[in-house]
Amino acid sequence: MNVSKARDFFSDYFEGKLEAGLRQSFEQALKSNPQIQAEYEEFALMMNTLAELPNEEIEIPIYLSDRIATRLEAAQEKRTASVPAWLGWFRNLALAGVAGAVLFGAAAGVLSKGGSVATGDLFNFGAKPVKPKNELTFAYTNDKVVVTYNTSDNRALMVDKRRITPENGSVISPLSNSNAFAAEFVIQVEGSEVPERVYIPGSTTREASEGTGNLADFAKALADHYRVPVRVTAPSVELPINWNLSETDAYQCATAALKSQPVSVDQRDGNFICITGR
Amino acid sequence: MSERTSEDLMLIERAQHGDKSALNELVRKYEVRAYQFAFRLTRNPEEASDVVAEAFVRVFNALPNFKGNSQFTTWLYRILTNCFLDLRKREARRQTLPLDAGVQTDEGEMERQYEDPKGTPHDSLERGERGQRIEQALKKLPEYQQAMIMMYHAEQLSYEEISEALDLPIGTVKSRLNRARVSLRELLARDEELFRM
Repeated sequence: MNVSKARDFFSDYFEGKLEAGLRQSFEQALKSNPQIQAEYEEFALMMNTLAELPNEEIEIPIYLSDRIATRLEAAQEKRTASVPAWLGWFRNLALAGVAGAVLFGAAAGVLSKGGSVATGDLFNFGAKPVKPKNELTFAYTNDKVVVTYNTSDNRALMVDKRRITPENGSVISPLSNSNAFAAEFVIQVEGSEVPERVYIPGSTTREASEGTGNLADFAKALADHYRVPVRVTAPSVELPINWNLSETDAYQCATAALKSQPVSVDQRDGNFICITGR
Repeated sequence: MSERTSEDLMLIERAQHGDKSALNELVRKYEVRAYQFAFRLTRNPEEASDVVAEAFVRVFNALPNFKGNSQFTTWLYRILTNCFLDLRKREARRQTLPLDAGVQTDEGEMERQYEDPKGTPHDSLERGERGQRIEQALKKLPEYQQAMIMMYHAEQLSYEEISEALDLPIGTVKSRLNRARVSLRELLARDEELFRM
């Protein structure tokens, strides 16, 4: 058996799958031919190293789910005529997915309230597909809110007066709060009229009580008592609100407190209580 | 049929009938695994994410034609492999400048700077030296062979599953995989000689 022929049997011999006759010939060649012996030894060593490949830890990027959802949305839009009702549901996938991905993703770049204030820079991600509009989405996981912004005209994103310029049309910004009580983040696409306000619960759970204040005060009370993130999309938070935190869940509490106000309430996007001005 | 396979088939059937949560669930279930495979092929998070996103779009577009003759996972591996091969083809077409060509700036010609594909020194320390050399050698193999090696050794697919994923007879899979391993050994041996020099 020459060297070239012997190489054809390296894998089968290594895996013990060479049939008896061929195995004898191969073993004979191994003993008698130093080149075959040397090459096979290297081959076996390499196979053992390859066996370690599954153990490699691979970090999942925080933006993976969002990227999948964006592409799926684009594909869905192409097919809108046949199934229009599906439009938009991939976004929920991204939010839940991003939430999951955060568990694996890098911890860098978190903008935080409390403690030493900002613990890192906001970070941008590029290489997005064509996006039809300026789009802000939110996900909540591990006490952090992940803001994902995709823009088709490269408008900047303002987060608490910090201006973030997208690179290739995308920004992903995790927000966190290490204060005792709920913190407010104001997020606004440059040039847009209505800001988004996000309220992240603090470390202290607020006791059930009645209260009075404006919409921002109510959002903070809601976040701290029910341990949920709250989103307010309204031109102003200067609405006088009376509330009672004795309802069984945040949605019922918000609905009761805001029933006479020009806002609507719903719960979506990873348990956010969303309060939207009419 | 395994529990996992029948669960996937149910999800696919629901997705084919327009159930919005079913494809959603399939994506969530397999996005991490898909990314790990794509990353092992590209060694680049951006490229791997693009490969995975493109693969799920192809899944979405091809769902109505999926007959369930193969497992969803092997079908996904096939699509991921094709997306990876397409990515490399596109890159090859785009490479019009020689790598050593300078860049013209206002201050004259500057040397082009490239990211070290081996990653940071910290990365290098974390991986074993031999594992790292295998990683470098793998990049020199034809893309198709890289995919086969990753499917078998990293993803731990059986020969049967690879045969299904790549739509090749099992004997062909075995012989091509052996050829890929032998080539890899040769590349490593050449690398070793360089080390000794």
